[in-house]
Amino acid sequence: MQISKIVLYNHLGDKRIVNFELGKVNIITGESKSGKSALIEIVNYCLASSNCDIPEGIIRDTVSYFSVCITFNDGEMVFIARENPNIKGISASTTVCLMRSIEELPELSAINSNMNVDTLKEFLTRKIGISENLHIPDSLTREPLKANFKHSRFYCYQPQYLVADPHQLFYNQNKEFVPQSIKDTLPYFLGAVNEDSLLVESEITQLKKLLNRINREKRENDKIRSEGVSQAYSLIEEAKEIGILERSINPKTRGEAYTHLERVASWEYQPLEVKAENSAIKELIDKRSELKIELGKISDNRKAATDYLRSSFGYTTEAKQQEIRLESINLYNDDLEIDACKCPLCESRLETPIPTIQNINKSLENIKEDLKFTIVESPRIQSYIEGVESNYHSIETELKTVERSIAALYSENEKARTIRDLNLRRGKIIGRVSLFLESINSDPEIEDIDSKIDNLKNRILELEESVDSDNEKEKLLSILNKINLQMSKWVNDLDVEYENNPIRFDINKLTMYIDTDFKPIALPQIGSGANWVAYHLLIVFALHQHFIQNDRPVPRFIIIDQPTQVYYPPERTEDIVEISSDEIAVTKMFDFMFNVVSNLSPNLQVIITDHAYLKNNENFENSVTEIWRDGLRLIPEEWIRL
Amino acid sequence: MNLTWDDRNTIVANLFNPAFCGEVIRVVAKEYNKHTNTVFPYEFAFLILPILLHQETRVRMPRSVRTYFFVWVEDNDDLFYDFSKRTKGMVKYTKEALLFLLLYKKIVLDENGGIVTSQERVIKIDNVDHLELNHILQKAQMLGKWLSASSDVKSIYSFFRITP
Repeated sequence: MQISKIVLYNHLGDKRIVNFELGKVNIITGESKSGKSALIEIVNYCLASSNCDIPEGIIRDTVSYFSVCITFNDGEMVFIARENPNIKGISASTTVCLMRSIEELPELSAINSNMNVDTLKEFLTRKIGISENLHIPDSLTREPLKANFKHSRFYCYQPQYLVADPHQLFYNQNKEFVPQSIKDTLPYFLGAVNEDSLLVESEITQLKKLLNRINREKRENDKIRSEGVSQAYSLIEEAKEIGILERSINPKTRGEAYTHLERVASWEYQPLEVKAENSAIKELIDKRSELKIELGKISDNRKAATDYLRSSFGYTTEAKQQEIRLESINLYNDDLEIDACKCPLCESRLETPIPTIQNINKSLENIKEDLKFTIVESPRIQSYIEGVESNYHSIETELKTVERSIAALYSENEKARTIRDLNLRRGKIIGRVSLFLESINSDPEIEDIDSKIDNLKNRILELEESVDSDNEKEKLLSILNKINLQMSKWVNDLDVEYENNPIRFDINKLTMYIDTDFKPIALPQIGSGANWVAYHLLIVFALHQHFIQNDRPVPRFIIIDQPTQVYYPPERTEDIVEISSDEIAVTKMFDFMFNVVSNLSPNLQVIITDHAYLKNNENFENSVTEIWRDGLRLIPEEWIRL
Repeated sequence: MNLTWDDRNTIVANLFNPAFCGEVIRVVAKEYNKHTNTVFPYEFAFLILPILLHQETRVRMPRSVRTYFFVWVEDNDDLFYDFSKRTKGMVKYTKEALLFLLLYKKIVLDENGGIVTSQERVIKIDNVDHLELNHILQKAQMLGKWLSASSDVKSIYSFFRITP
């Protein structure tokens, strides 16, 4: 994402366009108070800043809309305009006008707000390719932070007050909370955080759940197995007790015991012989089971019928919608002479005729017919269901009577109850035996479970490693090392005090250190503004080189305001300072920027506003976009007179 | 538009019949023209049916036009991930409906391809069965107003990820 144009609209709709070239150094050189420094704030305001820091004065008095044209890496040009908040007396307007894929600038009258700032932020976040990410702090005192477009801007602006400030390196770093969010999101922008860590985290949770379930299964099986043989004997004893096995059985070996148990498990249910006085109960029990089967059938029928009814009603409503939509035909006048085969646009013959009113009317008739049929049919189903329903209820009552008499007989006959109990206990024993046998026989499956568990554990470990914070820290360290190395290499191209000592960027303190032979020196402890500017340029360019080489989602532009201020303070003269090429320090600085940009061409755009003009430097002279002097400035003079 | 009326699947033909689709388009265009000086652009016509006849999209439309169109689109991104496919599917019905409207003199095309509509009132029938139809027509009026406030055709197509 780079800046193609900055466009200001005044109240009459006149435009002031500042053009920039993509992938190059663009220099605007001009007098003091010509509006150079406002450019950063204008760009920032248009790119979804929540407040407007554009300086008060002529600019805020004359402009009605601030806008930028940005070109994304995929070539799409987008126009973003935001109203000058002065007009309505608010600190910043919350709405913006966004136009996509534009070819020419819209007129003032065509600019209407069509979205709010938050949506613009979302749009830019997605458009520059920030994937879903979340920084979860190690200590839980802070909310997790999601990197978005706003966090990528810290590295793009170097305003006048910042570029020579020893205490801060990045835009807005002096504001509350900003240093922390820089520390939280920079690892993401550098690429030290696994891109799809969110996805991986959720996969880990899923796998862990699965692992728990399998572990539980395994524990149950193990428990049954460990009780093993002794339980087999006790089960056989119990089976003998209630008469499933003969009394004489007395297994000697484990295998023998298992065969007996298998017999128990496959034991066919033989109702206990009921003695004569219980025959009434037997009959009743048989009757009860018959009734239950009957009831089951009826309830199935009922369900089928209701289901049919429901779906058929569904059809009715659907058909009804067709009818309603076809009725739209009444809106049309069929008196007109219509030739359906003639194209109304070009008078040519159509291969297939346009459906005419007659067609649609016929369909309307058909669907009305259909509907009549459906509506007639549904009551018949209803009556069928009613029949089924009453049948169901009568059987239910009968079943209740039977059960009641069974209960009565039972309470009369204690003996009968023991028999029922015995049946129950037999069932229980058989159940336990079969569970026991299953767990004994499932040896191969258990091996399966073991290997499954191992696999899962390995997979989880693997995934955890990929999102592991230690791992991320290491990655971050290696990236920072690379950046430090780059800076130490570049430092020779600049005019600084400690030319031969390695430099390092400390992400925790957000400052730079120079490791001299004796001790590390932090940036604020190094004197001289020239050094401060140089180190700012080093870190910003080194970061951008890394972003570009690793295709990280950060805008591909840097705006630097007044990098020469330490050599030629703007207070000294109002006019442009013309510098000959023998001013080594300044030449070195500009040459450094030209070199980096051309090495990364066309992926980095640098916009420099300065009041110095480097004479006899070809690169500089070719890069000058506009010279703001003798009346030419950001705000045209005619606007002021208005 | 390859099949003649009688050869079509009855249900699809009835539900997307050109008289109905045409009326929906007419309502949107009429409302659009009422709220702006520009004439309803031909390209917008193709967005109408996929938005309004897709039930979930229609139901999730906000109550008033105070919500910006693009904000709504961004917030309901899940509705639009296959929007271009949906739009393509509806192109033939839109075209047919437009021809139908032209044939019965409900719309006229101006020299820039804008759509000028007849001024008949939108008829809504108060009846339980007509709830869906009324909802569609109501949202059609809203969409017309909405589109009139949202800038140009290209931005809207970009947001729907439709490439020509």
